[in-house]
Amino acid sequence: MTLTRVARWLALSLAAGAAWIGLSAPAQAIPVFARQTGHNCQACHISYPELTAYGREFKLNGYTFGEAQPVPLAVALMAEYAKVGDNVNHAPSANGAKVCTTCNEFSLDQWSLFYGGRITENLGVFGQASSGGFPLDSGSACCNGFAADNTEVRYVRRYSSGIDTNEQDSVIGLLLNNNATMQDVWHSAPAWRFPWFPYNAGNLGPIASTFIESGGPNGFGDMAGHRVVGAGAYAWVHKNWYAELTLYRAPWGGPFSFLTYGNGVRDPAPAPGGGPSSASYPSDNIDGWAPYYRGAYSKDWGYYSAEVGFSGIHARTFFDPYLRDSRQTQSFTDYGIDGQFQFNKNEPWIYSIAGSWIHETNKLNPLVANNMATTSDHSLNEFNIKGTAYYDRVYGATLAYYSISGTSDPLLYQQGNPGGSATGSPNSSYWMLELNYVPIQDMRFSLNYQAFTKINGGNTNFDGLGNNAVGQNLLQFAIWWIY
Amino acid sequence: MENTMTRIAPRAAKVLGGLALALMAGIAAAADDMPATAAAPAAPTTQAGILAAKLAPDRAHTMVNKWCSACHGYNGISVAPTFPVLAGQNAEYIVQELTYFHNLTQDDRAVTHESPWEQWIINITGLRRDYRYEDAPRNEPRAWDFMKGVARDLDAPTMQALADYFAKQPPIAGRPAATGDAAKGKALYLEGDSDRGLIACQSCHGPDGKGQGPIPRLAGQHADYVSLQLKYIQSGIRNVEQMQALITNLNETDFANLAAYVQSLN
Repeated sequence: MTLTRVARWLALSLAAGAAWIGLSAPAQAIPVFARQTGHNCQACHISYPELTAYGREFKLNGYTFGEAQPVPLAVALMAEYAKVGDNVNHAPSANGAKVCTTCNEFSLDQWSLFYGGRITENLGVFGQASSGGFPLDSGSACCNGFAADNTEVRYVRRYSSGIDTNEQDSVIGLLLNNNATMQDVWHSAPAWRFPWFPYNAGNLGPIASTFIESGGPNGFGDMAGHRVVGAGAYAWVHKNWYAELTLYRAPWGGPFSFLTYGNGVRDPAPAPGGGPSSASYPSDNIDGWAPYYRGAYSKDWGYYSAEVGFSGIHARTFFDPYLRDSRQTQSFTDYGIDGQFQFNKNEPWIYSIAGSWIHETNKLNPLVANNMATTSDHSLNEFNIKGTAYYDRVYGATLAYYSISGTSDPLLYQQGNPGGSATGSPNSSYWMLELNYVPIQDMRFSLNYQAFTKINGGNTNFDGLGNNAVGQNLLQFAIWWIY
Repeated sequence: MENTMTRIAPRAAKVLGGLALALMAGIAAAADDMPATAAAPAAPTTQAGILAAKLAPDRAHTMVNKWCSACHGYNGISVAPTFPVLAGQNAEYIVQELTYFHNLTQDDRAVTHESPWEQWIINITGLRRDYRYEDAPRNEPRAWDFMKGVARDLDAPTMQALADYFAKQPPIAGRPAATGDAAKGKALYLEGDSDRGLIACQSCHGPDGKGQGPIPRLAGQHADYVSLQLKYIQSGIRNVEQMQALITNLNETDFANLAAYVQSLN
């Protein structure tokens, strides 16, 4: 193939791609993987992004089933209407501005461009780039225009385990991604945990969250994420055992920084006299490498499948992301167990249950030295469980419970307005109930209610300013459209 | 023989394409211009056809390990009753079903109405317009969720090689079913029911449930799968004319009984 031919193809294909997207009716363009494999969404998803057993195989095999597509693109729109509790409506922030800018009004939360799929027999890509609002909002603190969302490249080879077959029943894979746990195929992992919608109404939520989920379970689990680059290897043996080790680090403008594009990774040049970041511990501060490990056992029988597993990460983060002094770092050690159960018969019911428990210990010496914490050693326990039922793949309901508890610290978890803690305790718990309606397979309507039973250490007057946990309750209506 | 560059250039281009969206859109298209081969049962006469037939067993084996096994198991023994057991299935039947799925995707593409703009793009780029799920005829919904995509890109030699692979796998042993009365199923299977005008299943599927040629093997098949197929065939969702007329008078209890019996066969 000559260079001219490549150039001609490139030019034509770009024009064709643009025209295709611009001119096709919605019903004629579908998500990347469905078009690549020719499957319906239901083949891989119980309710996206929750994967079926077959969906897990597709992902663990590096997204390489099927035929590469000429236009490997898909688009998703996520919009919501939120009705929020008293606290957020009425309590002004420190500078007097309304805290919640999208409360009690319709808003387009996010739109995403998906790209990728199979590249060769052994290489595949899951790519997502998202924007926080429409039209592109580059001015506000929340949205920085188009940015890299969950993005992953996988290279896979197949081998025989020799357990009960001579066939190649095992996969060894290499992966490169930008969000710890996005590579997981079970939805007990923080990146794919319920709720499956990036709800962003002014819900303040619990003050504390574990490092691995970096931002609480609200939305896709890693609101402060996509600022790291991870390279790892995994083995999926005989459809039963999964083992993985991935090392994460900050890209610092290196060759893989495209994976963190638009997510606020700082310039590598230290700013003169730069102080500590106002965000307490953003993950772009990682000092050196942060190892993430994961092991799981999975078993399918009849229409059932079950998984039990463990995972953990250890990371040190710079106190000052500009100076990047390795003598001034906080350390975080997370480990957890998780489990999942699915019944995927669909005649007409489907059930699934998932949960995880994560324990974190951290050492915050630089915070103590700078009067941001009273003691250096802290711990957190985070627990969540959810159950989902779908009828005929059209009507769904999910009930979830979340709790987080840990050591108190009046400086670390300060009294603040709003959303602080009067007692210095991070203890919070809340319920979430969501009803879904999926009239066609690429559109989902959700009605979601969050009810707080305890927040930041208390039920009534939790922040010392007269706000109650019940005032954080939130009702949200959302539409997800992917095509 | 093609030279090294023509083989390596598209592949290298594809790798780069993964890193840059625009590149990927362009070059995947360039490397994807191999036309889908319609399933033709005739023996290959062209050089390309002979080569395809020669390579098919290897291609099929790779495909089994990677793709088919995800649902049907490495040895053709599926775990979930959503997916049929293929071990020991008659090769002719497997080819017939794959061809059926393949032709549905092809036929449907032929009747899809493209806009003039889309037609123009197809003409200048040669892009193959792939089958879209919205166009699906809703027969055999479960199979359709999965199999249309698999069969879409198969050529006849690969279908045959896949069928041969599964046909020679050792069949699954019979086992009792959770629901249904296998004894009643046995009576119906072997003798039919003249009062209701039902002929014996064994007259086509054989007394041992092994079928023959295009008539599927039933012995050891998942009971849930069998009773669902009977339901689909009776209601016309799955289009098997020869059978639909014969099972009109069966009810759901009969389905469960028959399914329990065939699952118990070795």
